[in-house]
Amino acid sequence: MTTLWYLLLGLLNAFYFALAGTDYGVGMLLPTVRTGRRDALNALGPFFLANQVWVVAAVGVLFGAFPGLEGELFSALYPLVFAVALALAAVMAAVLLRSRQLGAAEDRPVGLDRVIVAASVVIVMGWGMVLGNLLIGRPLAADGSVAGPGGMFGWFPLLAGATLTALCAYNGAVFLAWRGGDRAGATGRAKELWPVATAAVIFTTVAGLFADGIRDNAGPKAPIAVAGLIGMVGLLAVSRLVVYRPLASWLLSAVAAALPVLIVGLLLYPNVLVSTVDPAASLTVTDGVAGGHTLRLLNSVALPWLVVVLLVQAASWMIFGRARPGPDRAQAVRYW
Amino acid sequence: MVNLARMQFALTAGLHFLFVALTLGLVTLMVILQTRALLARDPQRKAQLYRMTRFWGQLYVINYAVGIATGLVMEFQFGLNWSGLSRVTGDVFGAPLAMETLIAFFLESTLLGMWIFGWGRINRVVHTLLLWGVAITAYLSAFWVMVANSFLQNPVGYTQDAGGRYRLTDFGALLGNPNLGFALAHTVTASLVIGGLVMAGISCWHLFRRTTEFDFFVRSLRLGLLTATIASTLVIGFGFAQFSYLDNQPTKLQGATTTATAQEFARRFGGAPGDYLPPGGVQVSYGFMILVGFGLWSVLIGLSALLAGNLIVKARPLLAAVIALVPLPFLAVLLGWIVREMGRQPWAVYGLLRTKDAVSNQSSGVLTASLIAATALLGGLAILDWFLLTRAARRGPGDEFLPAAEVKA
Repeated sequence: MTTLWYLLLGLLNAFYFALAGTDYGVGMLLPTVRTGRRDALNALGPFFLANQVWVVAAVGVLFGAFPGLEGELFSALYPLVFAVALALAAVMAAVLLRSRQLGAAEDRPVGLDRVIVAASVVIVMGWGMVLGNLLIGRPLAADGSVAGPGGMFGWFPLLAGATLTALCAYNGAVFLAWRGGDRAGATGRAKELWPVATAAVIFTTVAGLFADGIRDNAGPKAPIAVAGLIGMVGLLAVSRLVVYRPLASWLLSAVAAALPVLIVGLLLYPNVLVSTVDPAASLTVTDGVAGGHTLRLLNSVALPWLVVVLLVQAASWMIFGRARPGPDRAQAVRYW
Repeated sequence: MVNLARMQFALTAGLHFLFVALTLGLVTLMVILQTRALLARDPQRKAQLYRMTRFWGQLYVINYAVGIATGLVMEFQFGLNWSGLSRVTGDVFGAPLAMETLIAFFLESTLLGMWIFGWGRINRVVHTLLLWGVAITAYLSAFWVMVANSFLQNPVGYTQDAGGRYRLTDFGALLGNPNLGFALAHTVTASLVIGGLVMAGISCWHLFRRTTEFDFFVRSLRLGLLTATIASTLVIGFGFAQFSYLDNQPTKLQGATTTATAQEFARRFGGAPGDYLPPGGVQVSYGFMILVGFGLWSVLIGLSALLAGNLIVKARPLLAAVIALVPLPFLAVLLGWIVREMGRQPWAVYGLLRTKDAVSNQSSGVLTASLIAATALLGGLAILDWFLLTRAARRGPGDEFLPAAEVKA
């Protein structure tokens, strides 16, 4: 049952990075969209909120099914997780509110756009750095305390953050090529971003394989990292090849954006947070799992319900995914 | 250190509570409006009801921004600042919170997105059902959050394992917690007072300014004022009903067993009995809340009576009076929150885990920095949101979701 819920946690995270990663990608690219910013945001349309809440569900499962992990993990990575939490709040509020300063027909840059851009970068950079830090491990003592923020902002976490940022930016560009207002411009942007994202993925994985701390934590599982690298590069390559079929291109790049969190989870398993000072203090999946009663409860109530939410989200993509809001579809709701 | 963490949580939770109360109240009124619009036969009345749904709906969505932002930060704060809570009692406390995110909030946001972008795109019956879904999941959210909160107030359904952690043994006991039912009903009806009075207040502002949208705002005023009046009667009833389990927390309000309980706590957990009494502001807040509640209730009854024959609309001072009343339910809700949450102190989980033992092991520098950042962001957001909300309210009905040319029925 522990494995089932850990898999589910991974699944929620994967959906989060694939879908919300697109939100942040679009958010980051807003400065390149001078006119038609509302087209770009309304391309996300009803999916924006639905994409964002995957993280709420993931943290909910972390708290409910792994209460022993949540506190330790967040405390050990305090500044990063805190910055991400505030940025998540900021980006949601800014997207909900930015167009309330405009009339329905108006489309011009507003001050809150800067919040959307900055928060999108902070979130993706922050999560990338969290993943990087998980690979390295933190100086976690047996009493659960962590000595200072040292190393949290080291070269590898920064590299991991930059890589996830590049992946999400590419993901946002191909999404806009599918549904945005200026599709030709977005396709061009995607072509520019593709080599950056691909190079970043290759460089970070290879650097990680040879970095001391990471080799100790994940050494025997290096084949997983290699397989993950091939998977990501392959997905990105096919995505680039079919860039003129933007829906397919976006789906492929979204899967690529979901892979890093799964690769990190697999590399560390059964550890979640490795202690760099005391191996016995490392947090494992079983350390943090909730009692049998709580898990059975989540199995019988939350699990079936999750299927319902998935079906509703799928229906939303079916309904709103077809008609492309844009200049040619003036009757579409332009709320963001 | 514990004070820094508490200030940050109080700021987040307090803002969340105020804005979410309005969310919950407004969504209920919107369900009434859109369902009536769907069922209406007369095309003019139907169109008017749809316009009302869109206008109040836009205010609802603007208000939603602060609720979702503060709620999200709070979810992370449990792990960031209160890791003791998740480490020691997370097995029990985490279960209802996980239910809240998975069963309620996850679906609520998905449905809300579909509702916003579904105008003119989705079949009308389905579109109305989407709003029903948003409202039902919002109430489910309130339910699960109150289940979690009731555990903090009156821990039930657990055992302590060998490692000192509390384990859930009886989920039914969590749901049957005596501190849950009436408190939930009290909170939900208070939200309806807020939603109703905000609707009535904004309508009165437009009527006071001799709006051209007379019919629109008279209808809104009636719905808002009647809802607020009925709900305020229920709030008071559910408030007094909570006396039945005051014994679960003898130190919250001054009572016969308060001193004995504080002495008992001091004997078991160390310190002086005085350490186990909540701050004096709780008792004051409690008295003041009752005063505001009763005052508001009696005025609302009088004003509702004047709805007959539209008397209230003809007397301009009465319109001004309704506008002046709008802050009062917010004040009462805040005072009630102080009584429930501050009255629980010094406990995070009453009688089990002290607040100072629940706080994370972080330096005061980190906590100070995070407090400043959270205050700046969430405070700024609340102010911006309030500004946009009042501006949209003043602007009156227009093209909320659809370009003007497309606004039909």
